[in-house]
Amino acid sequence: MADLEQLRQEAENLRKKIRDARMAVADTSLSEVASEVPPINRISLRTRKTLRGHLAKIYAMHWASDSRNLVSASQDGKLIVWDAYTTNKIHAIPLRSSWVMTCAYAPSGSFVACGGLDNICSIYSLKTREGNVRVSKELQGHTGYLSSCRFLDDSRILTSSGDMSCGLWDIEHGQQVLGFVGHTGDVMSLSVGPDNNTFVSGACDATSKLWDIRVVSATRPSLDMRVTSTPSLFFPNGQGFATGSDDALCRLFDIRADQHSRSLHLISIGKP
Amino acid sequence: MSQAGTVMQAQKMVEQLREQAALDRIKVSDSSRDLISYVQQNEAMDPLVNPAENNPFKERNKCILL
Repeated sequence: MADLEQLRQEAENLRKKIRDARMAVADTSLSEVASEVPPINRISLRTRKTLRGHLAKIYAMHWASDSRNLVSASQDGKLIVWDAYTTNKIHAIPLRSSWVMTCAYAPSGSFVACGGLDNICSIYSLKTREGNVRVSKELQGHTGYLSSCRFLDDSRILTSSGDMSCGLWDIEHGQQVLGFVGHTGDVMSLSVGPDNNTFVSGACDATSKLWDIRVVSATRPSLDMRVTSTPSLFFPNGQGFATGSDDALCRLFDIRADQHSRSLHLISIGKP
Repeated sequence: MSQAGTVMQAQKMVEQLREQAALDRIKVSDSSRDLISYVQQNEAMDPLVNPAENNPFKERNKCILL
């Protein structure tokens, strides 16, 4: 059996190798390459619709794939499914636990999911034969709060938790199929890549990890940020992802060059 | 007992780091160019950058001609 000290040394050497490999491909920066790109016009954002109905803080919302319906979760103990074109409520779903922190719309439109301090990811079927919405599964297993969940399809869902892990679940059997362990802090967010095979998780350990669902171990060396990272979002073509952090910076990461690409800060807040 | 556990953990860590060190990394210049060309190709379809005429969220004219 190999010596613990030897292994630790090897790990250190490998970490250095990774650092060097990242530097070796850093032949320029995104800013430099983009310096010739003409700026876009100022974008004016206008409130188009206001969806009223929740009675307490809204913690999460998620668009359906038709970009028309959306689901929102509030600590008034309700999930509301809205038609954003008309502002009509399609469903108002009472929750067993009002401490909800996240919600998700299945790509098919047939299910929504939510969870929070109950540590459970509850799946609701929107298209039952009886015409009402009911709980179709409660996915139990996390030992910490559910911070985020995203459907891969009607039979699989990914979750992230305050227990520092992410999980891939088989909804029909109500079981966790894969656990993604490695973060050393609460996992706050996850975003699934467009290929449905990779996802990025952001955690309170100041790192983001990129995982391959088919391989279970994190595919990429953790990308370190200096502070707690919360939201994460994949770039639409899967080549990068962005994160938000406690240090008021949004960071863009280049997956294929395996490194941080760009930091963006709001001018009025100022650079730290 | 815990020594064995720690050694196993360390071995797993080393395996993972080996995999990660062996990954192919492309040059930042190439991937930046791809990123930029993707953005530019899709600019026309971005409703924030290029507002479309038929924005479904815009209030429709509520006047009716009698």
